[in-house]
Amino acid sequence: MVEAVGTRPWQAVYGLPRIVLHRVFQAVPSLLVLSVAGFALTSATPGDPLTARMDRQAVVLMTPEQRAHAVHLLGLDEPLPVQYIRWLVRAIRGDFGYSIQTGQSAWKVVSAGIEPSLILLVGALVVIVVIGPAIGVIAASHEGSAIDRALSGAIVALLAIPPYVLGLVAIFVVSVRLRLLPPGGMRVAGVPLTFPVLLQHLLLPALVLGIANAAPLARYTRASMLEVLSAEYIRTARATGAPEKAVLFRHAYRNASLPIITVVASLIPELFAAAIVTETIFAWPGIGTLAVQATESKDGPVLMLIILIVGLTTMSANLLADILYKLADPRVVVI
Amino acid sequence: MVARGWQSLRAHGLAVVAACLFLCLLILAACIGPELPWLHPNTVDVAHISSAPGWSHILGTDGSGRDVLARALIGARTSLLVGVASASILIAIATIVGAVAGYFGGAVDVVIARCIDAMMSIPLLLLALVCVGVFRPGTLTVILVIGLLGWPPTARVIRAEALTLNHRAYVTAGRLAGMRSDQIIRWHILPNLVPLITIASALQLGIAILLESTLSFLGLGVKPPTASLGSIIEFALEPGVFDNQPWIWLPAAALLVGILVSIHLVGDALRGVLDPSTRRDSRQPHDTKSMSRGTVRAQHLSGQADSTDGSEALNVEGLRVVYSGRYGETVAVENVDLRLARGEIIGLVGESGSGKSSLAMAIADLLPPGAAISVGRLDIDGQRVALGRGKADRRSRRAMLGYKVGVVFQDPSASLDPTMTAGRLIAEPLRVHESLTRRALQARLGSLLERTDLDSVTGVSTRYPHQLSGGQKQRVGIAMAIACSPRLLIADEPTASLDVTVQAKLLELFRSLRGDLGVSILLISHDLAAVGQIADRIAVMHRGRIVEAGPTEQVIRQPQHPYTQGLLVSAPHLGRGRGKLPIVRSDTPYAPVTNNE
Repeated sequence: MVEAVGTRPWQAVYGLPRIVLHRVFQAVPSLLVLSVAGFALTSATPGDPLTARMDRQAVVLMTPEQRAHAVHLLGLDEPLPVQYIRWLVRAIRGDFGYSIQTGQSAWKVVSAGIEPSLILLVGALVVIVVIGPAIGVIAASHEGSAIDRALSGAIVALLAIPPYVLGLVAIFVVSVRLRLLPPGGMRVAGVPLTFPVLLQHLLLPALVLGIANAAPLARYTRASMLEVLSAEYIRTARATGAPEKAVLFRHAYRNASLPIITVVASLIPELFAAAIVTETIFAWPGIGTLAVQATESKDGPVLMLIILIVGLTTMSANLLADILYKLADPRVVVI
Repeated sequence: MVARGWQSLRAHGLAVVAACLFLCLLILAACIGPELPWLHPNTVDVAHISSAPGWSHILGTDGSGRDVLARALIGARTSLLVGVASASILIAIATIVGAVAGYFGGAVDVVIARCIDAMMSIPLLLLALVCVGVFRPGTLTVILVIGLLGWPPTARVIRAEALTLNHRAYVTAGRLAGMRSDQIIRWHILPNLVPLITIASALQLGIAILLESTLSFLGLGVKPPTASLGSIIEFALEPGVFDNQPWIWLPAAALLVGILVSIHLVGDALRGVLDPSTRRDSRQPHDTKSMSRGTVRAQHLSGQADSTDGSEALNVEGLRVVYSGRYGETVAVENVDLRLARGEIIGLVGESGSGKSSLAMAIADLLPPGAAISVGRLDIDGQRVALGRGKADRRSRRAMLGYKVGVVFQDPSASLDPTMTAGRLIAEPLRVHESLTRRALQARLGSLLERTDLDSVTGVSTRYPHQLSGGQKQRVGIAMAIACSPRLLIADEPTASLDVTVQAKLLELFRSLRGDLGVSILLISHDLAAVGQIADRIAVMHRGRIVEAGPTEQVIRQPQHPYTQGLLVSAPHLGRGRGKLPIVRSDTPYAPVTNNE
């Protein structure tokens, strides 16, 4: 049921707490399903289950009796559903077990990668939000012309090219042949991490990750703009005598950008996936690199934590998109 | 015929044909190539290790002395096979899950939808990584992981489609006839899902190949001795290979990009052919079905108003509008002359499709891109309008709008920007044409609201269109059109979508605007009776031509053309019922047009 409630956008915020609550309640079962699946998978991971729960040094020094006692104390001899509940209770308290690879707590290992990953993702998002709509708007406003066909072709190519191939070629051309930017890493060893140094290292991976993921947004913007441009209120806007550029941006893009917000949020999971490979080829010390390393060393607790973090981030992004969408469109009122 | 086929192919098909050709050739090469003795992928040429492209090995050799071309072909074979196998599993699961969720609905649907949500919140690659971590990496693992984990997005699409199919009449009929659920799903739901599944298959094949190559590139996919394109590209990560021996990894990368782009193009083409919802022809106007088709005939109607001395608000001579669309050309307006004296109201009537809206929009240059306008002469407010197609001429025509020419559109619900408040909408032409101070703008806004009787609506200028009634919205539209006191007001069926009482009030408003502002009004309507209340003259349009024109009294009392007579008979009268609008042959002679002045 949609009804006129507020008369200004900010008055529409009225219904926001309700959406937030509703969506959080929707997210809880999804997260639970996710954690069950993740738990089932990680407990199927070969390796000593004890090292995943305790400090490794301690495990190594144990006698067989102590070991059996520890297994019993940790509930590892109990059926899997019981183990899952125990894991869940510990996880809610913030205890995600220990990394099999390094012996450190899983949270410590993963949290080290959160900041670099966030920096890279934000950088890529900036690239996406700048070039995606730009390509879409230019293509739509030249519909059917050579410019439109060239840009649409570029969109198809970008949709199809694997991000890691794009990254390899970019490193090959920009860093190896032209020697313009560093080929990888986040910092220079021995040099303090200042902003210019960070930017220099961030530029190429953020561009690659952004360009590789801008195509869906560009395509969506084009379609959305074409639809809006044929709407009657665009003709009305033209009838006021406004120049075509003003019609394009003040009226068409404003309306076309409403679904675009949702598209950006829906890009987040794909962006994470692309970040895994992008981080690997650029030796960027983020969660993606950690995930690949954890897979190679079959580090269940670390993988499990990464899955939860990624899932939570995606769900939050979707929620944020809902809120932004509501703020942008005065007609959307959820009762 | 051939030329047209070529034309349509060139519009969207040439790339697709190339893509199909590429895929066919590649499949052929991947099947035959590695079987040829001189192109065996595992033959080691000890004399040529890591050698650059040359005569003995066209694309060079890798670090073990194996031919790069042969490796790339066997890699492509693996990638395609793994892709097809895993996409098949994926589509099968997605179809079953989606059809079941969509068909049964209720609790089943909710549970499945939650599971799909949970799985889709994690990138497929990360899920695949975890699973590969659990099982032993290898070809079979990759196929199973992609097939068993990749189905949720497709299942979601299929579920939505099945949900709508579920409410179709034939499914209900089947249910009433006592068919079992599995019979309905197999006979009624699944066959109708085929187009969607075909599109999804192409899409998911691309995704599967991409995922396999990514896993293999990360060293978590297929394992030696099996090679896929991804595992060949992985060589790039070996020291020295990446920058010094790029021929080892670049061909595989190029081949992979080629495959993925081709599959994508084919998938898009399939979508265009199979999915009717994505078919659109923006140049096809909505109301061309009953417009006349035909050849151009010079048909001048002269002596319509007084002679041209530059004093008219509007003078159009020889206006012709042609729409070109998928089915050829449609002539919407054929050689129309029209004159409006200052302060005059002309009612332009005719059935829908008679070309009256096209005529009005052509005068304002607001027709969609597919419409071609040709006009002998167009004067507005006594001034010649520049008719060129160049940028400067187009700009000068646009600058006239909202300033000298105001336009009111048919459907106020669709023709007001939903993201702007009424105040901003009405102020827009003022902002465009007059640089006013904030205060002056507010004052003008106030008087415009008063003028259009909107001032009685509380807080109207801060309301959005969806918060106003239909009549109020149309008043906002009128206020926008008259904001800069134009000389000519074009109103395209301004009351057609409003109820009768509102209609009467709006017509009264138009009459008072003419009285107060001295504006000339071109009032378009299919309702002869309504227009007759306020128009000085009436012009009747039929099949793109003005068939009769004259003073209102005369046209209504003594209609000359059979079409006008028909229009009058078919208007509903209280207590008399409604006559039928006769079909008028297009070759009926035009009524003599009498001079009204």
